[in-house]
Amino acid sequence: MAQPPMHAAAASAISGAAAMGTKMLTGGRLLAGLTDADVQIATTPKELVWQQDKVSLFHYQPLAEKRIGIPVLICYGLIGRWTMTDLQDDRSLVRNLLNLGIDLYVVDWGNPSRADRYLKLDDYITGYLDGCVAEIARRAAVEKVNLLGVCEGGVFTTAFAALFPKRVNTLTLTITPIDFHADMVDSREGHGFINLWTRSLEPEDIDRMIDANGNLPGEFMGAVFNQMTPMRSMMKYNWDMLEVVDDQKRLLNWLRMEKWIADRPDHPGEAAKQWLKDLYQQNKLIKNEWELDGEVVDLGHITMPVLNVFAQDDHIIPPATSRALAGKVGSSDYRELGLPGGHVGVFVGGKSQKLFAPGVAAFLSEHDGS
Amino acid sequence: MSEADPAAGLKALTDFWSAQATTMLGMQQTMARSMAEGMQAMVAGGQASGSAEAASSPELAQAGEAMAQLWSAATGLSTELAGRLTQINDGSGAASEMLERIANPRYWLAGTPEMDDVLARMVDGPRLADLFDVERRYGNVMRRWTELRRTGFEHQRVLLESWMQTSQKFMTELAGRSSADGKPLEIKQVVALWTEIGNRQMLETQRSEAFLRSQRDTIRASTELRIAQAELSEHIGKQYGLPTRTEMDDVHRTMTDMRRELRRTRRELDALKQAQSAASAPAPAASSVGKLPAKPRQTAATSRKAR
Repeated sequence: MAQPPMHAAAASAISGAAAMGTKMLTGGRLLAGLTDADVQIATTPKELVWQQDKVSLFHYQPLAEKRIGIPVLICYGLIGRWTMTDLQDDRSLVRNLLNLGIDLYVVDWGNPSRADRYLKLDDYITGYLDGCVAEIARRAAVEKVNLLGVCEGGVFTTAFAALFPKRVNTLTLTITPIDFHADMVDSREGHGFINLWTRSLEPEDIDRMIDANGNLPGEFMGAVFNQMTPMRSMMKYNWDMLEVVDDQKRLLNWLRMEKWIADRPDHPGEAAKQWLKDLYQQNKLIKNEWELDGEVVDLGHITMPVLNVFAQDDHIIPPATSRALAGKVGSSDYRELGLPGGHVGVFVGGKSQKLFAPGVAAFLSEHDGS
Repeated sequence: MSEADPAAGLKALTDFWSAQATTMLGMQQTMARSMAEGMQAMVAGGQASGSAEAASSPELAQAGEAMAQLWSAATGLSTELAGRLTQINDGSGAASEMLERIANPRYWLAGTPEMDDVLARMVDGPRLADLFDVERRYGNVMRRWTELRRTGFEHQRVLLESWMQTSQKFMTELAGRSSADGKPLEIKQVVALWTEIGNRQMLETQRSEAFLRSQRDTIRASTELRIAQAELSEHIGKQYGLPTRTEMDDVHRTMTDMRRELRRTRRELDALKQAQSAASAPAPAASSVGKLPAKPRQTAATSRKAR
């Protein structure tokens, strides 16, 4: 039977609405069937081996024959959590390193509360990180360990390596700010907003803000990060979600990322003052003026091999702020590894997955000696 | 994952988006209330000269008036933009909602300044409006609150100007692209265009001195309000013998100092034990690279001496 002619635009609209309805229906089915257990992150098996106050040190179970004798400690910062390094089985730096025969540890700083507001970066670096390194060295019967710092955690490991060079075999930094003002040197659209934003405040503003709130609330930092991708932040729970909602694999990937983003611990107040004032505002690290426990953190004292991994499209830690380390360390073996992707993409992106862990493993292998 | 009723799943999905919309609506209502209160404060400012609140009211009134004028201009632009987007709407629920978001500046104000929302929650302290025996402290809280509203207006004004610029650019761009092949763009393309233009505009706005200044002023105002609330709360707490924030902070500071001291003592003790053990042990055999020789562990307490 012949169909009546239909206006092309109306047909397109009806077709579009039908497709949208199907998508939503499929998405509805998928969402209804999901439980929290389906959206797990950081599932690679590990055991708790050391604990002090709220800090926990975990040792990963091996997934392959050990090829590198000296253990590696992954040290994330206090903004966000290390679980990014083990987001899901097929997007996991942790798994990739384990599969390459690396003996791996990770430190979790816990969930600081108002009771922890007086903890300083000194406590984290020369206290808790020191304890972790000592425990790993004791367990592995070695005097040096390999450190792998991420973002703020990279600053922790940099400072530790400068203060205790005899206890660090190699230093691997990933997406780590060293020169907090280098965003002005290499200014790209949308990059380095945190640097600019922090400099727009007076030191007294930060003191008052921390005094008023005790800590730097995790959700506050989350809001600052969201400002860096304004439209994406505005649309992600409607438009972006609609894009993936009818594809189980993509939906789960999206939800795992959301789970990681939602886990933003508060940053202890005094440590936050140091982070924002000493480093972001006054840029003391690159100037060798930063002091911890009364000792100057001198980058020239970093004499072990250094691998500096940066993300080429990192809008949070612009590459120039990381690469400023070149020429500042005392080591004659300083290398850089620029990876495709952004601040988070470097850990979960398909391209960087193929380069990141193998690059680190090759560097470690060269300096293993065990 | 278990099999489930598709209708229930759809409802969950719809509920999820509805919750987002409700949150947005709530924020719009808050903003509308704030504007009305701002206008009332403007009127009250002329009548209550001499009070602490009145001192800041003229500024609040000015900020409110500027915002009202800008809002009026934005409303006209919004109507024009909505008219253009109606031609693109494919009739689906999500698409209609998205187009409405694009055309309505309130979504821009409510959605982008998440910072304001967070700040608002940061200053949400105890509700003490019924305690009239502490007028001076209460007055300080009100004064700080008024200042926060004023800075809020200023910040909203900066954002609204940004939305208007985005909308102008968007309409120009939309007209140009539509005429290329004579057909209107599909909704996906429209949203992508809005996102691209909006993102660029917002990034530019956020780097402007006006944005950074107004956001900094809002942070300062919210901080001072929070501190004023804490002072009021402590005053009340003391009268009833309740532990105060200051007292708790004292305890926490002491606890942190003691833990620090304990860590240092443990390290020194550990180093001492290892030194004694090394002194009493026979000379070690040659060890492989990286293996721990029999000597004291270098720790925070001992390593600096060794360096």
